[in-house]
Amino acid sequence: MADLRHRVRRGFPVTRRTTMALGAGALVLAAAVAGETWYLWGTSTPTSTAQRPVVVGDIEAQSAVDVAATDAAEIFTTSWRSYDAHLARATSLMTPDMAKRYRTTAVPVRTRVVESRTDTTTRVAARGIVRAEPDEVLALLFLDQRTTTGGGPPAYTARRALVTMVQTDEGWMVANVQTR
Amino acid sequence: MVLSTVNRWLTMLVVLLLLAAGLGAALTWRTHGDRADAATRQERYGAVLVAADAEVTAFVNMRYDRASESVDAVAAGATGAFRDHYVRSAQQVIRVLERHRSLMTGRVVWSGVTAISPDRATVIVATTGTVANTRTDGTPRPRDFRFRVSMVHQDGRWLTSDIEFVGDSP
Repeated sequence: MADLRHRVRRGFPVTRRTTMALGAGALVLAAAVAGETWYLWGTSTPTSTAQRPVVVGDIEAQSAVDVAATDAAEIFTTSWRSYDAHLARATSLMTPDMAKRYRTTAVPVRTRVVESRTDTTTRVAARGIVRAEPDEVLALLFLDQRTTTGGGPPAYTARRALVTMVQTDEGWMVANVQTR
Repeated sequence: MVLSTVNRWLTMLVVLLLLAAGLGAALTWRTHGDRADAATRQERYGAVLVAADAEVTAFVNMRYDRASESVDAVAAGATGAFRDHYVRSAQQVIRVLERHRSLMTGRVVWSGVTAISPDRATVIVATTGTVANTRTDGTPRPRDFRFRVSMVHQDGRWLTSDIEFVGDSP
């Protein structure tokens, strides 16, 4: 009569069937671990869409918008007395591409500002998140500007600006500004 | 290699993989919940902006020759005291539109979320458009606006509870 008991050595079964079962179990578990690893770390952050314009945390998006507001107020506040210092300070808040474009447009503006002795102060009346991804945030700003020319009475202008902020090694920088 | 040695290593591997899979399952479960919460929060931004854009679009498109439709479009997306006040003054609004033969057209240029929670939100909206009336001799004049829109979530919809013009402040 055949011996139907599993052979055991030092407490471990030694049949080929056991080996195959253990091997199959290991494969299944390895596949499960691989699937979990992919789900946890392999999927990328979704890109923003009209349905999901903000794909980062509220605090992260808000901090970028706050930087945009501070930077925009600085960029749009100019004085004929210190236009060159303003240019240096404003471009330090921008990405290299944006700084280059800004300097190009600033040359004719400087002449006009200095000749007409124009001072402009800008205050952010409201700010909002338009779109936010981990490396890029679009902020809508309502800007109130007070402008005096040649010591005359102030003129007030309500402006709207869409500011593109990008994440760099130096933090959030202004990559584009559109005003209307 | 003898089968007993192979099986010993395989048993240890299975135990390790079981532990890793169990830990992974717990992390996956938690992450799945976090991502579902994040998706809900992120979609809320989109829903709020769509509702605010629709309401403001209705607000900046008023025609004297379709005055009732214009007023109804605004009222459809409004709620609370704002809606009550708007509906109460609708006849007056219609009379003003007709008297001045006002044609106001506009569109949303940009909108952004200022504050948001599961049942309340504030949105700022920039529009561009034209206004023509008897004062302009029917000639459309450019008219850009800045709005602050307060919204509440009611019965599965985002509705406007207030609209303010954001003017320039001296």
